[in-house]
Amino acid sequence: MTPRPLPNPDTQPFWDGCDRHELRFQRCDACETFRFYPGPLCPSCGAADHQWQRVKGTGEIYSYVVVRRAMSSGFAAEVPYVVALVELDETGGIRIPARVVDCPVADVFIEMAVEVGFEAVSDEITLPVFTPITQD
Amino acid sequence: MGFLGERYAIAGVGETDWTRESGRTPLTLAVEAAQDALADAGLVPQEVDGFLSYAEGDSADGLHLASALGAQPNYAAEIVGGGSSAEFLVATAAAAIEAGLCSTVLCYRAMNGRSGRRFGTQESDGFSFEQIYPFSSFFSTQGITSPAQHYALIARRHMHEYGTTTEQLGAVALQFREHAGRNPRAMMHGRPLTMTDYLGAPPIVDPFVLFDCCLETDGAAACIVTSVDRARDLRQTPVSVLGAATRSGGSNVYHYGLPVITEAAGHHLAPRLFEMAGLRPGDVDVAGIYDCFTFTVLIQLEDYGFCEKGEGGAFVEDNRLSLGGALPCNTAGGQLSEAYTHGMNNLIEVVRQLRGDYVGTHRQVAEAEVGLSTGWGGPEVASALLLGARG
Ligand SMILES: [Zn+2]
Repeated sequence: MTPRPLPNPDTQPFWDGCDRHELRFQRCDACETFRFYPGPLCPSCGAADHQWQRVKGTGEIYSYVVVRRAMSSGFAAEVPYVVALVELDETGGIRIPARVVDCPVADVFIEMAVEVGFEAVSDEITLPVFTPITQD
Repeated sequence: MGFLGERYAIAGVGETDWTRESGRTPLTLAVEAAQDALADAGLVPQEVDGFLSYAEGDSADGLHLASALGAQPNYAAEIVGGGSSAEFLVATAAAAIEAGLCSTVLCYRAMNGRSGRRFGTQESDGFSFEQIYPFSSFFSTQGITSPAQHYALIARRHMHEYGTTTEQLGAVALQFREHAGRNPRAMMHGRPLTMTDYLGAPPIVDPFVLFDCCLETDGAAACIVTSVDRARDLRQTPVSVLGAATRSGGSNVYHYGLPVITEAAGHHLAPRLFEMAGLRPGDVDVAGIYDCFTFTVLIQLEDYGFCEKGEGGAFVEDNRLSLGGALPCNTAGGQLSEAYTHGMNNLIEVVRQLRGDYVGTHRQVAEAEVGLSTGWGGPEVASALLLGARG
């Protein structure tokens, strides 16, 4: 079985955004710093007030792995698959983990330009995934 | 000078056999390791009044171990430090004794790491890392569920930034396997490994192959901390705690958000550690460096100051980690080739080297006077000890 997210009051808006095919992150009202993962205070200035701001969802691969042997049975049928740490534009450099899809495993590289898409993995769960931005 | 005036020591060490299927409970394993350590020190359970351990929901706590042994503890606690906990325990034990909470502390880790709850498969038995790490869902839903998958993200970035090679990771695996060949109790004793074997091994999660990953082991390991004064009256040569330093989290416990993700938390604590002991990295004669993966050894070598940042790969070439090398490391085989006890077995081996337990055999590091034991719980969690024999 594929692990399901266990949303909590801190993270629920992120998952709600994914359901609507929107990538949203907390942004501090006081100093405008984005933060990830979600939490009660701004790590930069300590302020609590924030918005869940939508971002365009482009960025580049900061690091990545190719999973060849799944440790969770829910992913066994999907190997090999790529999970990258994507550094997002417009956010001051926050990084999120996500699958890289629609791209041969061997073609993935650090600094590759990618953009977000959304993949419904069940009736209840929609995940952000990334695809390469083609140059043409 | 030194940690708490260098008045605390490790007075005894012990362990179980290392297997893939113990057929025993974590509590029974803990009892066996405790009895082995007590016998080593020349103590009976009633002389131990403190118990410290760590777990990931997979062990037996100090209350139950004390009860099973018939001890009468005044103090028992668990530390939250993952793979950096073994050194945390020793430091915390000394602090608890200094504070008068107890006088002699048994520190241990017991787990059925292979036949019981395996790291990376927790999701399948109803356990979720969500209970420990608030950001777990962001990874587990994407197919990152195991420590190897997490650490490979850091290793890949290190390769990108510094040109670290697969062969350099392999050099660590080969060296520790060679050490295991000297240790009849090691799980990988009698299983020599060549670079050809390494490069041809099954891939797990690029850039890691099978031999980049530590073993999974059923077993337990323990050590006993007491005052140097008390330890001197016991059976073994005391091994003093010269330095101890810890790091628990930091500016971003979601370490993938740090400006640099390729540093070990050791870089935060190493200056404190060496300064308090009046020592430098070059003074270390034998090391136990946390090796959940080959890669974690490289970056700790960098961040504890044995080489420049980014040069950990080059450092492990030329057999520098061998018994006759510049920094004999994980000389019983480490977690890659002896056994995985979440760090405690590496600490125990450093103690044995400093006591000269192997003198007259091909396992002894010559003139081992200063030892370093490092724990790794991620880029923001670490602890380390500097140890020295007290004749
Ligand atoms: Zn702020």
